[in-house]
Amino acid sequence: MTIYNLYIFDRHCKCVSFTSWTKPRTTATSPESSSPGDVTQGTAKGAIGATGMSLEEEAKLVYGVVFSLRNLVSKLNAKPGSEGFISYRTNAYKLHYFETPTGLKFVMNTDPHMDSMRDALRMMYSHIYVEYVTKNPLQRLDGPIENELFRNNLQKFVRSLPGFE
Amino acid sequence: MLHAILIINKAGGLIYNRDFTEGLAKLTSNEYLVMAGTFHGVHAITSRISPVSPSSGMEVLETDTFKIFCFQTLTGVKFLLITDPSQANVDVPSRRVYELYADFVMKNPFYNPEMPIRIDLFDANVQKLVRQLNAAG
Repeated sequence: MTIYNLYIFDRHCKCVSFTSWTKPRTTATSPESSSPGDVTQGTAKGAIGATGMSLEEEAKLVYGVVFSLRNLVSKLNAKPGSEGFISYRTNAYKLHYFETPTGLKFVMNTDPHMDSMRDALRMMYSHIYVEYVTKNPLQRLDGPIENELFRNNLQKFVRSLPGFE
Repeated sequence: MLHAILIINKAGGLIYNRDFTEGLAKLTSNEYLVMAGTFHGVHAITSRISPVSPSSGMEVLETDTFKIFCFQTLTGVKFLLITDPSQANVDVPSRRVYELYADFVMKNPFYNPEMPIRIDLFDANVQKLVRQLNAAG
């Protein structure tokens, strides 16, 4: 069991934070010397996403998928006011989704056998995002998150999760 | 508990849909068509955005009020089974529906491939199967 990566999208569908705990999927042109526990963070231009394509393209695809599924689910849902889309699974990974009332979206990819990460994502929002991003006076509204304290605490939190290998 | 069955052809067109319970919102046939098309597209993208090398498309979609199981055949036809969130798997029902599809749709000489399924015998057998499954639990 393992956790692959985490995307955070703001309410304008921009990817404000990306963290990966695995190497990009496709074999890179130069042989990489990084160890498997390596971490990639940041949303800078030219960054590589988890699939090996550029992060910008990949984030658009991921956002498109969760946005479409969220709409599809809310349409089929007979009970108004329920939480809606929680996760989906393929034979290789599982995508967990959590949305705050303000439209912030947390998307986490894990091993397909992982239990629901909903509570973990909610904790991440209330204890890390709110503490270190919302309460940070230097954080630009709707800008990418470049906050060291946020990154370190996110790292510590994810590494302490039961599913992290 | 099985709420609904949808069959999507390899081009993303909805060729069969049937509700069995009141568990889902009522949609118009147009909304169902849009939903099938969306699902087909998303299914294709989900295999592309996998963080680990080759992945299938989406197999199970979980929400707090229902689950959608997607069974894709080798020929690209997708069977969507919408169930209760408590359903663990649909291996048996999806196989049975596929058998019915093979027997009553594919073997029907009057059926045009890729077109909507309007075959009473198939319909009746699906209804019977779902009644059995839903009665059993």
